[in-house]
Amino acid sequence: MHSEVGASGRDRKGPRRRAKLGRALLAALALLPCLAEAADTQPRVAVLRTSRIGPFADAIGALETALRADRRQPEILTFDLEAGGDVASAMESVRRSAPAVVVSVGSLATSLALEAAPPLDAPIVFSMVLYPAESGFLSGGRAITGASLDVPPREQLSTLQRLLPEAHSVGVLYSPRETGAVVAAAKPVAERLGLQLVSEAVDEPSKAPVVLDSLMKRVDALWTVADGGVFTPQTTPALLLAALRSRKPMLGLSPGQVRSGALAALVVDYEDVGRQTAEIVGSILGGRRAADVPITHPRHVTLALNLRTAELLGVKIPPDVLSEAHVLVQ
Amino acid sequence: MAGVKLEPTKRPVAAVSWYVLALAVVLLGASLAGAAPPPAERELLLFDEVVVSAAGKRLQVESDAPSWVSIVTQEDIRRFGVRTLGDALALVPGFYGTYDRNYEYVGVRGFLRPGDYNNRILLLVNGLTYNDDVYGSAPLGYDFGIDLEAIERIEVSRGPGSALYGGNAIFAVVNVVTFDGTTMPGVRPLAETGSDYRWRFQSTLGHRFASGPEVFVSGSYLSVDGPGKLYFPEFDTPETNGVAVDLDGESAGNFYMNARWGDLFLQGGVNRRDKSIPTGSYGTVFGVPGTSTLDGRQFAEVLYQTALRPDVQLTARGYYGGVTYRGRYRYENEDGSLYVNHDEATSNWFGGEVRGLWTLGDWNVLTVGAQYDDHPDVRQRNFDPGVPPYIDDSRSYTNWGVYLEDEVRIAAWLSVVAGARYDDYYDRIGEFSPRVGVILRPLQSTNLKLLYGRAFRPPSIYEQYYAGDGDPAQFANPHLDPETISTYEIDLEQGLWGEAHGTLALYHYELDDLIDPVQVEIDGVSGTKFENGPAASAYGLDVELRQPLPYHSLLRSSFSAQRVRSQGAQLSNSPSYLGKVELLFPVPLGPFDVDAGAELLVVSPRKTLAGGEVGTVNTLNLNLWYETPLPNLVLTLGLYNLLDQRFEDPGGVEHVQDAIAQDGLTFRTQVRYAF
Repeated sequence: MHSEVGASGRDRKGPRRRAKLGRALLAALALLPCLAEAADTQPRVAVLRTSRIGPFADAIGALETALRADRRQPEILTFDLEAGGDVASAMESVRRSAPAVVVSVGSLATSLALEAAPPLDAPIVFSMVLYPAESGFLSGGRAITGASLDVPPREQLSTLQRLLPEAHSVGVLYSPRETGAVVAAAKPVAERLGLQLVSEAVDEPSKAPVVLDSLMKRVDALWTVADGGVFTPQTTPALLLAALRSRKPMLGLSPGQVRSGALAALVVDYEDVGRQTAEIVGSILGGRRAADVPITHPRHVTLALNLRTAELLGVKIPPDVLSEAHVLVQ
Repeated sequence: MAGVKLEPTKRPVAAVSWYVLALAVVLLGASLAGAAPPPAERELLLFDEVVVSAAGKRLQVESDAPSWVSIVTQEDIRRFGVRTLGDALALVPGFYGTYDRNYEYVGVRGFLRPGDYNNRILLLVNGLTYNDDVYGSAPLGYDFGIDLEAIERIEVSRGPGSALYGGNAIFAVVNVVTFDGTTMPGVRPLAETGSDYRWRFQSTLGHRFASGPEVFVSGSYLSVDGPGKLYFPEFDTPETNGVAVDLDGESAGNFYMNARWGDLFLQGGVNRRDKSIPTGSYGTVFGVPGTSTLDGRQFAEVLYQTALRPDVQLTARGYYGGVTYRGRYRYENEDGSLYVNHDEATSNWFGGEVRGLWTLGDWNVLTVGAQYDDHPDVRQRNFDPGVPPYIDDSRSYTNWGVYLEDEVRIAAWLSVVAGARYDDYYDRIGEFSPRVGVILRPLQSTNLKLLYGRAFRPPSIYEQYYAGDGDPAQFANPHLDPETISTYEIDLEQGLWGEAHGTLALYHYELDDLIDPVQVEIDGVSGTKFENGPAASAYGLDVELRQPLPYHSLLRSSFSAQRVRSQGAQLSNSPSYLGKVELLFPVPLGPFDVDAGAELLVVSPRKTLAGGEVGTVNTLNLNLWYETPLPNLVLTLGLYNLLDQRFEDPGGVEHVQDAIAQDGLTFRTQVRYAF
């Protein structure tokens, strides 16, 4: 019986293997200086976060996964900016790490990154931020871009139109300081769609239900903007109930609002926003200036529906809309 | 007369002052610190919250409530095939049910005392107190009186609620929120049948008029014969062989309505429920028909809510409640003939409440209110026809309370809720009930609640004055002190992976002056008397995980462990642990659109009153929901105790049985339609 792996066979291949091993070791030694140089030039990305879980965490997870797949193999450094924590120390740590790009996740982290004193040297890429322009993030002359959470008003209003083809006037509550610019920008968009956008300003959240009460008498449906001066834990339930009782369909802000009575909401894929952020970071690491990289809008958006609300309001959801929607309540 | 306390029970003024001072310090400190709270992160508006209303007498989100709030939705009721309010509460972590073949009881975190008629939980219907004023009882079976199909959701706030609601809110406040003309329009009838010759017909009707008013009505009739034969070994004699034949029947009729017109809300209802008793309770003759109870409730409420200013909301309500109980108990004369003893209670009461809600910006919500109830004629009778009554007690009483609660949002990650209520019952019991909750949100999906509360239960009229020289005798005790409870709790609510959500609660309860029936001998006559007993304490934890799954499926599981002791011994009917697994999932049956709800309930062994033990309860229920191709036509099939497990619940003091056998496999099927 012939054995291919006999003792004599091992003896015969031994010198050849030892020679190969020797060559590999020499090659590795020769490459060491190159590897050390590569480690020195490996770009660093500092991720500033205010939360480790929830949608922010989903986005950060997708961001990190995508960055690890980047050919430049950036080193990812994560900094926690917890509410009440020592933000100045955290920013100093960010500065010392000399990142090539700073990623700020959420409005709070972005605001803290922009307010850092002395200013951070690296360009800032925000992620998961609502209304970055209206928040003043783009107006300070800083190198900043990012992946926003803004679903363009045109997409929102046209969704409302598809849901409610017979609606002609759409109401919206806003606080001038927070979302005045968002609503102003939406008006011509609504006009182009053949809708009349009726806006009512709210100077403090507690007055929102009263203002909504008068607004609902003049409109066919309600649109919402993410405005902390309108929606608070105290006013949100009251606004949802008021809309339901007035039989006015509302395009809400979140799945939670849909479950609590809003007819529908556009829901963003937060992980994909994380991936969009990674693409922007990749562009900057590849040499593009932050100012040259456009701010992105969410590209994966689904429609959440409350069919019980639809039934209550007598709204017949068009079959094509229903087929592509994610039904939360039926 | 051993064990009777005669001293008055007003709390010392010094103690009250201490509480007020502490409250004032907390409020002042919080107010100063909260003058300029940082704004919340805007993106958080896109993330989820659940609306609740019970915990703070106003609409608020679950994470802001100063207690762990569980919600049982109409979706849960339908998809799990829930039959009674008691069944619905058994879905909630830390809650477990007991049935003595007459009334349903619910235990909370290991506490369920014999004969308490659920008077240690406060039951509300749209915020209106539903416990009666004779026994303080919260009806949870078919005596509840409101169809489950009329319920939008049930909000369960664990822990003491006396700081806002007054008496009886010892272990939990359960708020039943009904549908109205807006939220359940149209006509929706259903017919159901099932095991033991069960028939039930029910319908809701909701409508909103173009001019604004809306109305909602729900009514039903139930008839069920119950198991044809029930075997109780304690009565196994040659005459009956221990078998109660056709003695477990039940019938119930419910009517409920509400209406809303602008700021005005009206609700009311009436129900009657008749139940035959097969267990030979209270020493009645076993195996013969005629022992039964009739329970009836009627109530009405007018509520007006208006905004005096954009930041000031005023709520005023007036209400009426009535209760009727008629027990018929068959006993044997010395000559062997049978007679019927009548045991009855009736009461009608009236009350009102005014409440103000003042919102100061986004950071402070102040609630103040006052409540007054008048009970002009609470009557209890026990008599045999043709002879003077053994008990004929008629009395009146009043109770009133004032309360204040403030929620201060000091920072986006920190809120403090502090409040207190003072109650007066019977012009002799004054109770001060404070509550403080510190709610921390250190991370976006983390909610940490540090809670302290104190609550009380006034002795019921029944416990104080149900007295007569029958056989056995029942002794009055008009000097009963209220039960009190102090609770310390840490709740951690944590968003997990994806949409998964977990809750961990650690708690310690201290109960004083627990009111229990005890056997006493007074002047050579032995009988039963309610007395304040020794203190009891509990340590425990509840863990819950909610995990949404693909295909509209949902998994909820919970585990509860508790150690409830008094005088060094485990209390009766107190399981050491509870386990629940609830799964909602679609059933792939080809073209048929079937949804299923399965629940597995595990209750560990419980001590009985006689010192024995009932074994572990493992019940698996399965409910199928089929939306037929015909529009709006739904068929359901519920299989209860699917594995046909044999299990028992502990008996009460009125039972010879130390443990009472429960039903094996039963079923229920429904046809539902919506116009």
